[in-house]
Formats: sequence, C-alpha cells, structure tokens
Amino acid sequence: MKRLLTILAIASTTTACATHKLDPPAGFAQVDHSEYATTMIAPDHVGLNVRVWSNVKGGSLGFWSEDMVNKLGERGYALTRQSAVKSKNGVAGTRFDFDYTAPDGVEKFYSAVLFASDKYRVVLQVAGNAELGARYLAQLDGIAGETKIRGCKLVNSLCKSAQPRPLKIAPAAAPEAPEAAPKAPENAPEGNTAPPAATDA
Amino acid sequence: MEYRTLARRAIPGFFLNAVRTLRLQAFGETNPMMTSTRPSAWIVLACMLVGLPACAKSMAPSMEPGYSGADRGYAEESMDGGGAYAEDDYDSMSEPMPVMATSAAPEPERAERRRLFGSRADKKRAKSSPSTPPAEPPPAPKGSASAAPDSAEPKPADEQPPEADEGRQIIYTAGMRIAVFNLQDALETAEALPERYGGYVQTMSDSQVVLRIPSKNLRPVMSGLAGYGNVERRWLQSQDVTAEFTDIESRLKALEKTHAQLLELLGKARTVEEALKVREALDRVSAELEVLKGRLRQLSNMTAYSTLTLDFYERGPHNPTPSSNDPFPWVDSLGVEDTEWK
Repeated sequence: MKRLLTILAIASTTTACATHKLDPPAGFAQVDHSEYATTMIAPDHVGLNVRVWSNVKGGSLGFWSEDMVNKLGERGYALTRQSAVKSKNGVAGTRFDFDYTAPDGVEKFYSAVLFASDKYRVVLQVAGNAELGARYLAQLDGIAGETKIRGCKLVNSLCKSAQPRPLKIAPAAAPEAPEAAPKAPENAPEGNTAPPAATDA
Repeated sequence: MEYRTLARRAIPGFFLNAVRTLRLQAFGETNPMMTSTRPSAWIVLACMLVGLPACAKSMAPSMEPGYSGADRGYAEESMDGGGAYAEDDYDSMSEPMPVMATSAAPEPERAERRRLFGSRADKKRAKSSPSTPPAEPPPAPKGSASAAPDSAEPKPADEQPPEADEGRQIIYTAGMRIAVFNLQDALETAEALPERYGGYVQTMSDSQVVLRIPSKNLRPVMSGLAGYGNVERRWLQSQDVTAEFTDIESRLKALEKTHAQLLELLGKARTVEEALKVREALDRVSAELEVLKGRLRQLSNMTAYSTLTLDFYERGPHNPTPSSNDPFPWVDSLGVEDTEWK
C-alpha cells in the first residue's frame, strides 16, 4: 500500500509538470520531445508537432486565434477551414486548415490546432505536400482529441472559453508585392544615369 | 464616527487594523477629534483616505480585460486578489509581460533620443526662428570643375536627402538590412531601382546589392524599400566635405590665375633660360591644377550620388524576424517550414 501511494505521488508530480502530452498517432514516430515541444514524422515526410508557449493575462482562445490567423495570412497562408475541437482533458481548441504555396512553388497543406489554457498556449501542427493532405487532415481531430493540455485552473478557467468568431482571410497577396515600390519622383532621371567618370576613393 | 464610516468604505479590511493602530498611537484611548497634540497623524490619515480611492480608480481601467467575455477570468481574479487564485495570480504576475516591457523607454534611451532629436523646447525654438537663408546649392554631378555650386539650381526641400543643408557638401552612405520572404524577387527589385531613380548598381552578390543613388532620391528609395520586407537595421552616415570643397575651389581659382600669369610670362620670356624656368613653374602649376580638378570631380560625384548598401536575407519560421512593435512574435515560428520534415 505504501509503495502504491509513493508511486501514485511520483506519477502525479511528474504529470503535473508536463505542459502537454501526445503519444505518437498511428503512422508517426516521435523524433524529439521536450517540455515545450514535441516533434513527430511520418515516413512520407509529413510532420506533426506540438509547440507550447506561456500564456499571458487576457490570452484567450479568441485572441490567439486572430493573432495566429492574421499573421499566417500575411505570410501567404489561406485559411480554408475553421472548426472547434477538444483535447483529451476537455480543453477547448480551434482547428485551422490552410492552403500554402511554398516559395519553390510546391503546394502544401498545413493545419494548426490552437489550445489556450490558463498557463499555456499550445499549437498542434501538421504539414506536408498537398496531395497527402486529405489522408492526414482526416485524422487530425482524432489526434487533437488524444492530446492533453495542462495549465487549467479549477474555476473561471480559460480552458473552457468560447470559440473564436469565424475568421476569414482575403485572397493572399504576395508579401513583397512590387506595388509596394515607391513611386518615382517626377524629376527622377529616366533610365540609368551614368555618374561622372571619376572613381570613388 | 464619520471618519470611521468613510474609512470602512474606502479602505479594505486589513487596512483598518493599521489605521486603528495609528490612531491609538497618535491619540491614545481618548476621543481623537478632541486631540490636537499630533497633527502629523491626521495628515497621514488624510493622505491614506484620499490616496487609496484615487489609486483604486487609476488601477481599475488597466485591470479590465480588453477582449471577449472569455477573457474576464484573469481580470476578475486579479481584482479579487487572494482566495483560491492567489497562487495562479502570483504566477501570472511573475511572468514577463512583453507589452509592458515595450511601453516605457528606459531613462538612458530617452536621454539618447533627446540628444539625437532634440527636446520639444528645442523644436519650438527652431520653428519660431526664421528659416536660414538659401545658401549655395550643391554642384551638379557633371564631373568637371565647371560644375561649380553657382551653376546648380536649388532643389525643392522635399527632395533633399536626410538632414541636407543646401550650402553644404555632404557625402551620404546608407545601408539597410531587410528580411524578405523571397530573396530572388527582392534582389531583382533592388537591381531595378536605378532604372526608376537614377544611379547604378555598384556591386551585387547573392544577398547584397550596393547601389549608387542620386542623393536627392536617397530618402524616397529608403522609404520605399521599407515596404519590401522587414527592415531589421537601417543606418545612415554623413561626411561633411564643405570645407575641403571650398578650399579646393579657392586653390583652383588662385592656381588658374597663376597659370594665366605664367603663360603671360612665358610669352614675354627673352632667353631660353627664362622660358625654361617659366615652363618649369607652369608644369608644376598645371599638374597641381589637374590634381585639384580631379579631387573636385571626385567630391562632386560622391556628394551627388549616395552609396546605399542593401543586405537581404530570406526569412522563414527558422529565422523569425518579428517586427519591433510586435509583442507576440510567436507565430513567426509556426508554419509549414517548422512542421514538415526535410
């Protein structure tokens, strides 16, 4: 009995320290794990990872959702789907699916599931080549449902906060659009104006 | 009795003990209203009564949650203090708050800013004082000594390079380090800048472009480049060469006079020896004249064209470059590049 109690005490202490917990889903192998990150891969190079940051006052699911979607939108990620999910321990989360074209022109699928607990904000990400998207995205709700998110208070907890409002991204504009180029002043010399022949010392 | 009621309304319970102790110390067990032996104690009490509600009022808005109803948890907990959330509140208070960290500039930073940009009083003085009379305009980059300052037309104020003074000959050297999403596009855009603004590409490498841009266009080019990506660093150096410029011009004038006189003397020379001596002096003056003209051309070029060094580097989740005013740069480390296995 004493031994059992000791084991239980140790187990409860160790699990209380973890920020998140996700065992590798079928088809994935864990390559890295720390308190604030877990990385897994599938044989076809699809990546699955969990990233954790400390939360701040006012850091609700709605706040971080807008922050994340807006900033990813600025980087050319087009939001295609938004849906509510729940973690294994009941923390409210939101799943955002994106279309993305890499700088080399390859189409990618990317999905981020955001959870906000009182202590942490956690993002579960999955990404790979677009043609593999359908297979992996179908499993994502299940994977999110198997993830444990820590840092919830007993009362008035952010973990049960409302879902963010539906977010939309306008058709992505290139981040460095040539339109951003400054307008030439009217008196700017036309064409390459060769400087005097003298050389700079 | 009145002050007690007031105190109870304004001060939380645990402060009442302190007030009571203070009252007992000040007035003993007697009626405090009748005592006038320790006026300092009354001042302390008055300060506490006035100060605490004022403090509470000023704190209240900053504690209110700024977002949806879901955010209320934190604010309410902070206002309650203690209780079941005491530990969590302490934890969250001990966490760094990036927003607060960026809101106030530390004292040395302020002093530095004051030194660089001047105080408000200085700016007011500058506004009220009459503008400086137009001085000599800078020479046109024609590459010859004839490109004297007198021949150039004065430029409109908005086309002047930063901190330009029309009477001064200033060499501007500027640089920018910009994080971009597409390095190749950025390089091509930078390479095409001289087509729009004049100048030319001095050097170019995988991630760096050195441009020579007409000084009057340096400011618009730099402002425009800020829109291409995330400007991490921007610098500008100026070198005032007015003194050297003026000196060379004076020496040129004097030498040209001497040159003319020597030519005259050469024509009047009667003997070969005299002619040789004059010729020798003439050669020396001519050589010096050429050196000075060359230096003047060089200075004219350097003041007319600014050197702009652009360093680009490709940004991505693995090299996040949060903008300076973003308190939450966490999304920079998210994305396909961070997730997909390569």
